[in-house]
Amino acid sequence: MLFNSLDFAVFLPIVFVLYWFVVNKQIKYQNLLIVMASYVFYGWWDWRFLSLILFSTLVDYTIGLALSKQRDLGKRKLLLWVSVIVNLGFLGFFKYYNFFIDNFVQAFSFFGRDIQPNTLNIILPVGISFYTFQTLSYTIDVYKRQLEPTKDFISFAAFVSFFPQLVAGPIERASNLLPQFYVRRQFNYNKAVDGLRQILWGLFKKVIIADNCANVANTIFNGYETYSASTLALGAVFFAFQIYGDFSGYSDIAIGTSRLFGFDLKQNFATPYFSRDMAEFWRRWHISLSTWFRDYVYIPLGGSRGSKWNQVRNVFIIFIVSGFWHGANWTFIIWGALNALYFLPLLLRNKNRMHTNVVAQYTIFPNLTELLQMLITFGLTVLAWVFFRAENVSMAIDFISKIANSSLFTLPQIRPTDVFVFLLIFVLIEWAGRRNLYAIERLWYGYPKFIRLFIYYTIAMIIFFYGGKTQEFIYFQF
Amino acid sequence: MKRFIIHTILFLVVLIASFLFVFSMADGTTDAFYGKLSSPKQTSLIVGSSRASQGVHPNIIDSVYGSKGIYNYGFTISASPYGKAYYKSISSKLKRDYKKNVFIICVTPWSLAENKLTNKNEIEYPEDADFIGKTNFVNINPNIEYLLESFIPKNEAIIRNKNRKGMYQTFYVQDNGWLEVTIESDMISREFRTKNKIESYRKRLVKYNGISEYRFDYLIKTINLFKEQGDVYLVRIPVIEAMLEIENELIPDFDKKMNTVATDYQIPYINMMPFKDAYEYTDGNHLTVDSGKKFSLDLAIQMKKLKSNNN
Repeated sequence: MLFNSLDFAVFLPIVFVLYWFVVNKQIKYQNLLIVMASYVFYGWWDWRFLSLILFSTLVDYTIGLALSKQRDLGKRKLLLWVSVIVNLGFLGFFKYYNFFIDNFVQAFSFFGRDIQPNTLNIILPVGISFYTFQTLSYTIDVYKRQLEPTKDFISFAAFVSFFPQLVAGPIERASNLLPQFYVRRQFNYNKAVDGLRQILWGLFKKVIIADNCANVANTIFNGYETYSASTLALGAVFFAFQIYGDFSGYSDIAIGTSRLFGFDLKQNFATPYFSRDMAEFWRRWHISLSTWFRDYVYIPLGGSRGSKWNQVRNVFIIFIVSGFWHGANWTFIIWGALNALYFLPLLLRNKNRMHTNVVAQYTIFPNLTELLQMLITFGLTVLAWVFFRAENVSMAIDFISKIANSSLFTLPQIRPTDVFVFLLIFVLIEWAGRRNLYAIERLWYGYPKFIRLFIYYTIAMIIFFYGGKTQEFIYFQF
Repeated sequence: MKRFIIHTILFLVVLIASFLFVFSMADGTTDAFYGKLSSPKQTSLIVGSSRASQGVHPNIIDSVYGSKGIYNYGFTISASPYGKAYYKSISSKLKRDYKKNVFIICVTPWSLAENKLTNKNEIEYPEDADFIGKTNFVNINPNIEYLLESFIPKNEAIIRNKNRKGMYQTFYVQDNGWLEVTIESDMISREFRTKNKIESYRKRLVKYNGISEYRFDYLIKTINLFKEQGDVYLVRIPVIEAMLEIENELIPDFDKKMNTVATDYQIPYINMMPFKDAYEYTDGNHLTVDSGKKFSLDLAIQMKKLKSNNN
């Protein structure tokens, strides 16, 4: 079920009413309702893959309990590995099986041996990368004794399948989300209103920014051979906004929806395009995934300790693995490696934690240096996004080489005025709200209530008037 | 909680009322289909693809043939080839109370051709996933189902297109279902469009396998449905020679097949293709407005003649 669909517009109020008016007397029933609602939400796409979620839930719940009883280190490790193998096994099979087979075939044919591959017509279950990482974090935390394993299966199932963030995150840690299922949720007016506001902003990002940019970016990327350099550059910029609007919009809707049910999810995006260097960008982009990799891959590898060589190695590993997480294609791996390269100079000069505050924290406008830093960081990011968007590596290289051309300084062949206007408004609002958890959180607090309501009404009407047709969220495929 | 529910409902009521207000402004200017999907049920119908939609004028048929309120329910070749989706839509549009109605079934090889499936993502009958298959309600105004699920442009186009009525490159579905297309009529534009159309249909040709049994069966079903309620005419609308050549490659014995159908089901087959040079076309495939009127007049005269011969 898509957040930006009629189905969800009907589904959400029904679950809301049942949650607060029918099963509100007992947490157990509320949690059970969440599990059922989440399974309906997921099954709406393809009910067959519910078995994967259920199996993953059962495995990690059982292993969590077993870990709590087991004191022998060897056996504890074995249990952890069972969880890792089951979860990553599913992920590996559904997401990477054909990629590895194809690459083996190519490698063999390179050495003059043709083999007949046994490729399978595998459907990638929506959100598998997200919920497997979420459940894995539970087992790892329990293994490390950083979290008490739960004995409440319903709560655990609700944690794994919680519908607002099931298919595209934020990837929640058990230590943050699971305890929220143990306590009775009290309805809070301000929290619920805030949730609705965040949903509205998320929809604006998805429907107005992402979907409209997608139309232009798709046209340019699909016919890139025929366009001028400036048009291609524009296409890459539009894709940068598309993916940001799409993914951060989804996160906003997910977090806002959770707040309607009394839950607090972690912030997933913090105006990343206003970053002054790549290290800051990665602290602000897809925060739940970056911190997951930091805590479960980077730090266990040694993190920023040890020799420079080890640090460099760890940075490359984390970025390449992160790229590979996004998809079974060399384009994602190169996208990850490119970001590692961007990060490297900062690491080597120990300047990777220079910008930990918000840009222009106490001023309205950035100074010239900050502006330049932001533009350079954005430019580098856009360049890397070309690999992310391209169908294959040669297309990405061809695309970029065509940008490096004198026609870069001509007017683009495609100039969608309405999308430019939307982007300008969007960037201004994001800038004004850069200190908030989401842009419009407290943006118009000083205004009378009817003016705020009018602004929200205007945003909703813009979504209605200028929204493209329902498109899937990009991150569903990851 | 009570406060939240009341405030949310009030906000949503205002919002939904605004949406409905905009939707209520949708009409024949909205796009090439909305007018047809928001008009009441009809007793007499013209069905077929865009050739029929643009080429057969209901008012002329009514005035010459003597029918009452025949309605043009033709769409496009991709949306309304004969099949389950179009049949269902036609059935929903048809008012069943009367018996002395008139039905014009326009046929082209394209509307009966079988799609060639070239990859696993393609579906056998693409119109099932198009608006014709997705729109269950075809007689309500405003047709919110269509506007929400199938209207491709952004909703602002509902208002914008109202102000563009009559301008170049606009559609207008009149109250009788006839699709008025306003398009540049100079020779250069016409030749350019014709060249493009022929190229696109040449490319389209490789995507088809010849006649489809499935589509043929639904043509027969449509004939039977109409025969229960009045006189049925099977009609082939003319196109230019180059387009005809492509159609002959697609289904070489098309006219023979249609004649057989006409004989088997005792309905006339009016093949206007031999008179193709008497008309002008916007792109080689669609009649111009004036030629459409002339064609409709010629068709109505033929239909009347056939009817009086039968009587």
